[in-house]
Amino acid sequence: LKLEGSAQVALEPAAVFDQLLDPKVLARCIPGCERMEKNEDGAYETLVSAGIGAVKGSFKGVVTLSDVVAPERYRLSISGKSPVGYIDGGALISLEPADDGTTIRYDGEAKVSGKIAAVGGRLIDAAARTLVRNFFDRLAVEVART
Amino acid sequence: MIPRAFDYAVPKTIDEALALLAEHGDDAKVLTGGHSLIPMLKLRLAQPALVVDLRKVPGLVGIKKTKEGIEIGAATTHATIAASKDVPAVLSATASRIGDAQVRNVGTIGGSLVHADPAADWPAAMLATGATIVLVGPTGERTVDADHFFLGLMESAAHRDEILKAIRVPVTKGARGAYYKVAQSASGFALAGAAVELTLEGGKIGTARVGITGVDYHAYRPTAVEAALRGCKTNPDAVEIACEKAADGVDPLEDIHASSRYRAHLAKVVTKRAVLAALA
Repeated sequence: LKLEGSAQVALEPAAVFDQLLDPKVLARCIPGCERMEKNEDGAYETLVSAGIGAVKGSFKGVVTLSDVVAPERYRLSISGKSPVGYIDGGALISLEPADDGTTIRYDGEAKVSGKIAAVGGRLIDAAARTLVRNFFDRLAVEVART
Repeated sequence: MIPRAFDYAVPKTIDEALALLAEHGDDAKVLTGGHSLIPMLKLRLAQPALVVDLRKVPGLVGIKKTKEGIEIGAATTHATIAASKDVPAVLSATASRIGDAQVRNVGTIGGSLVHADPAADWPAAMLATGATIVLVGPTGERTVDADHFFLGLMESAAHRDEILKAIRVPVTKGARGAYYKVAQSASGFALAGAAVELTLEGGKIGTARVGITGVDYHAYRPTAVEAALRGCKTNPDAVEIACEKAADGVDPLEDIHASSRYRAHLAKVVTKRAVLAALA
């Protein structure tokens, strides 16, 4: 499962970068995020109840950031588990100044396994893309507030 | 394959059903045919606290003739619609291609529409016929055009506290219709499917409405194709050219069964074949 794309936000890169690393902002932007806390290792522990239509699962996950070069790019790794399946993935996030703000590019890959992959295979790609789109829609709203 | 425990309610009226939905919100799921919900319950992909079974609510089953066309009750099975002489050709054609005989005998049109699977067959036919969806909720009834009903992946315009009550389908005199899909062979779901309703004028195609499913996050109308079909000759070459833009402006789905490019290609093929079948 590959996830690649970009999104525009109306704020300069340095400010967007801070927002993207702020657990409170992330909690508001991740669809279904119920908890997001930074632990002592600098990783984020999260509980996300992600749902598409009638399908719902609560994912317990750990998000780790590495190769952080503010305010240009960082690498994000995520691993999560839930009663319906597992997810492991990583993405390179990069920020570029654009005319009226910042272009955020993401290039990542995720592996979904377990029950949700076995039976929901044909929907996972679309579901993942829908969730990513929702995230950036929410981020745009969040940024507009600052 | 055993669902998590849930409460089960069998309301006798639609108001009783609506009250249950209002009380339980996201924790409740509506059941009619159960051919999407029950498998999800068994796999525990859906774990509602309450299942509201609508099968004892009167007035949700059957096909009625109205002034403008027909009204199909939400809990009418696919098989009933497939066998009906009163429904537009595109509806019976679509119904007869859904799943297998067991699915068609129990699964319902309303359940399928609310579930809004991106590869379900009904959404294409709803768009092709210009159907209207009748929803009933706590504040009464409202209608939504098929064009505005399918919003995203498994997401429709029906709110959590609403029940899809009926589907109104206009019947155009002399209209021809067909449904053609390339199905995933295990599930029967459409890799790409096209529903077409068209009229003939002076040996050429008059107006045409097309709905495509299985290709995008939700069924859509390829408006460029509809425009190209207007006044189009009825020979296969002319139809093929008119259907070239079936996936324009769409970022097709990709999964283990079909790549994005393949789906874009299939969109053209199924549209062409559905148009030719309607003309035949």
